[in-house]
Amino acid sequence: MTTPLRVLIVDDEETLRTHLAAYLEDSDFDVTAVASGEAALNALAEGTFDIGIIDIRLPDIDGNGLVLRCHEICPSMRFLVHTASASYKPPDALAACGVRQEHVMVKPILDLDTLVQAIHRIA
Amino acid sequence: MRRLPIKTYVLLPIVVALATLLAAFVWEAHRDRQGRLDAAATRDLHSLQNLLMLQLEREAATMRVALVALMRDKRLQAAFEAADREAIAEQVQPLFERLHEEHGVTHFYFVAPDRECIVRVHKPEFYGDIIERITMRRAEETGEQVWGVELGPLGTCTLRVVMPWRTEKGLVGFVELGEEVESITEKIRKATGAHLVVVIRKEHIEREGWEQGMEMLGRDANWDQFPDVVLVGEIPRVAPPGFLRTLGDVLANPDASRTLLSENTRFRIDSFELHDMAERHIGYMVVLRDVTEEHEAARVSVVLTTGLSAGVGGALFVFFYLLLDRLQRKLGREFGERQKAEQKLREHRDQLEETVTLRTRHLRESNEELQREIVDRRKAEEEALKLRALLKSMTDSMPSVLVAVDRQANVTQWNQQAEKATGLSAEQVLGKPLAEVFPQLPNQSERVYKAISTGQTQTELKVPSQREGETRYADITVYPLSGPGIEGAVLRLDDITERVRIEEMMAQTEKMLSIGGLAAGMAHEINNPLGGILHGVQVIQKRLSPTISRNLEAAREAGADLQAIRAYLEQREILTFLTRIRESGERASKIVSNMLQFSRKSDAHLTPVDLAALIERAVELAASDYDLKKDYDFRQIKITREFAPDLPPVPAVETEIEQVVLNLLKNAAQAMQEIGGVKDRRISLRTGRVDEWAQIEIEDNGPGMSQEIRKRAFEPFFTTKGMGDGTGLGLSVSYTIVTTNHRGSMTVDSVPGAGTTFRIRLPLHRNAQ
Repeated sequence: MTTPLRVLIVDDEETLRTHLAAYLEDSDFDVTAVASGEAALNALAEGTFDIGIIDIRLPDIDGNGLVLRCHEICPSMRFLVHTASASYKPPDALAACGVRQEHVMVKPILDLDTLVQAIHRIA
Repeated sequence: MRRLPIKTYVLLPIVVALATLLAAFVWEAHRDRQGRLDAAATRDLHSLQNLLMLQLEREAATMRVALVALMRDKRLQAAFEAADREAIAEQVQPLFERLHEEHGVTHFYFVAPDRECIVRVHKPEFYGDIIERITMRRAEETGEQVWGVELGPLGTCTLRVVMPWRTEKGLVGFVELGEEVESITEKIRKATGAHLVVVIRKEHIEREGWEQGMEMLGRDANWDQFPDVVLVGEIPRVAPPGFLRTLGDVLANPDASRTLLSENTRFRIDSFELHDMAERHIGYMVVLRDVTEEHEAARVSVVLTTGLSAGVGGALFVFFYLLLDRLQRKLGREFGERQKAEQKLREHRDQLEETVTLRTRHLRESNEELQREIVDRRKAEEEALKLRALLKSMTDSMPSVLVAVDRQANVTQWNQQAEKATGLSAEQVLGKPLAEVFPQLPNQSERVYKAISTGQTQTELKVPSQREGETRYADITVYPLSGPGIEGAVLRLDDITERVRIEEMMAQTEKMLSIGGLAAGMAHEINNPLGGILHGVQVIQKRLSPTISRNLEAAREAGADLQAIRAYLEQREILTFLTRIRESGERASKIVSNMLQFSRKSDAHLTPVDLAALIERAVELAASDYDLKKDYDFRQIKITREFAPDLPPVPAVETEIEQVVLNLLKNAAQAMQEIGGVKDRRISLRTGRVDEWAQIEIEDNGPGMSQEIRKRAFEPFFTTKGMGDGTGLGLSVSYTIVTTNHRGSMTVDSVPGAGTTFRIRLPLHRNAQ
């Protein structure tokens, strides 16, 4: 049995966050779920993550900014943007971190297995 | 006072008639006399000719008697038999002289039987020659006595009698007597007064002999005096000057006669032919007669007749003249009286005329007045007609329905638009109540009454009415009419259905845009709780999954069997409820994402798209669509494709157009599914180029839709699908994609029961828009 992928979920919406975390845990990921950008950075200070699932609209830091910061701290980390905004397009700065349109997941994700597959694709 | 010229009128023709009559009578009398004179002259000429013949015969008879007497003389016989010249001459000389003097005998011969002249008593010195004359030869031949006129070599004509002298011994010889014809004619002249002149035709004599003879006779000889004849006899002394010339004329035309006037004497010249005993035409006997007396008698007769006629004519004239004079005087008097009467009459008449003229003038003046009035009236009528025509064309040219009504709301004017709107012609509706001819707009009569009574314009906007199952809208304005003799109102009705539709469409678009704006704001807030729901359900479903070891573990720890739990959940349909929650969440999510489409700016990048390939992909997607597959197998629909091979790539957002096409395919399939009964289900896909547009047509033979539905097809949230089957946004989203994002157009045609055709047009050149 291989080491499970470490996933960091950043979402201020508790229900979403816990549901997502529960699903991913059941899908055999090592999940850490936080409610803000600051908490995310703290989590990164304590350990590394393979995958970041980042909400764009966060109470403290802009999701895009958070992705860039996480990337700075942990360059091997890959990201999926999880947003409620259907018109979201990743800015060019994020493209440098490997975040493209296909890495944008719009809420609600009708089939969470697609998220699992997306994680596996980028990991 | 004029005189009646009766005299002239009557007398002139009488004079002319009398003169004509007189002239005719005189001329006729003259002609008659002349004719008689001519006839008498001709008769006389014949008598003269007969007389000449008779005279010749008588002379010949006398000579025969003389010869017969002579032949009884025996002494002379002996002398003749002895041919004793001297004895004969001596014995007969006295007889010859007597015969010469009494009878004019000029020739006396004794000729031997061999025609040798024994004695020429009238010329004793010539003898012994042979006599060759016709009379002699004929006497020799016949032995009989012979007589006749004979032309001599000198041109003279002689009557000769030859008698043979026979004895018992036989023929002794011939005795002959001869007399010059001139001597005979002289006898006739003495008896009748007519001069006879002999002319001989030149062909029977020789010039030399004739000239010799003339010389002998002591006459002038002119051989060339006439062309064909020569004069032998002596010209009578009485002959007037010009006789010879007239004679020439007569001889040139022997049948005619000539009259010659000399001093107081009138001569007539005639001729007849002269033949010798051998019946040769030897010449002419010219007859010169003094006809003065006969002529004078005739003239006197004519003069007398003329005079008598003139006398009678004159008397008649005088009689008529006097008669007419009296008549004229009498008539003149009566005429004068009548003229006076007429004068009076004329004066009366003039007076009358004056009166009539005056009246006529009055009449004419009033007539002209009337005429002017008629003209004015006609002008006014024409003006009125023109005005009416103008009014009609004005009202007809108005885009509004215009209806004029009287105060009872009966129609008085009805324009073309009104005819069009109601299908009733002006003739059909004039005079009828408004409510009767415009039943689709109730209560208008009240409005009319109100407008008239208050004098205020009544307006009602956007009044709906039903026509052919379609709601139409109209703005109605009623204007009260006021003016002298005018009471009523004009009703103006503007069909604003199209405007309302456009307004609605605009409102719809605005609605979509506002929905878009709202959605954009809302989506985030809705999507999060939706995520909570949907993700939660998925977590629950996952945690009930018997394939996950943690689930089995947890169940075991709880002292339960996962299989049993699942059995319970299934039995209580909890799993189904979960599924339904999930589906509801999914639908909500779809609605939100569709709503977000309205707000999407056309910032998507346009790339050249091959429409045919795009449509093929959409067909594939439709065929594999899960929702569609549930109800209907798309593959059972017959898809026909008619793609224009020359259609260039179209600038478009591929995914969007693909979504539109897919949406339409799904709609078509669902529509056909709905009615079920269609056997030969068919969708026709066509592409083509129309001017600067690329066109996609998607046609199905489904149930179609009514006008009402068709008009609302692109409205957001409008759906005909059963509850839960559609979001009511599919077509409106498609519409927005085509019209807003691509600046194209999207229309739909439909015939209920026959099918529906969607038509999408996209501009081929972006900059052209």
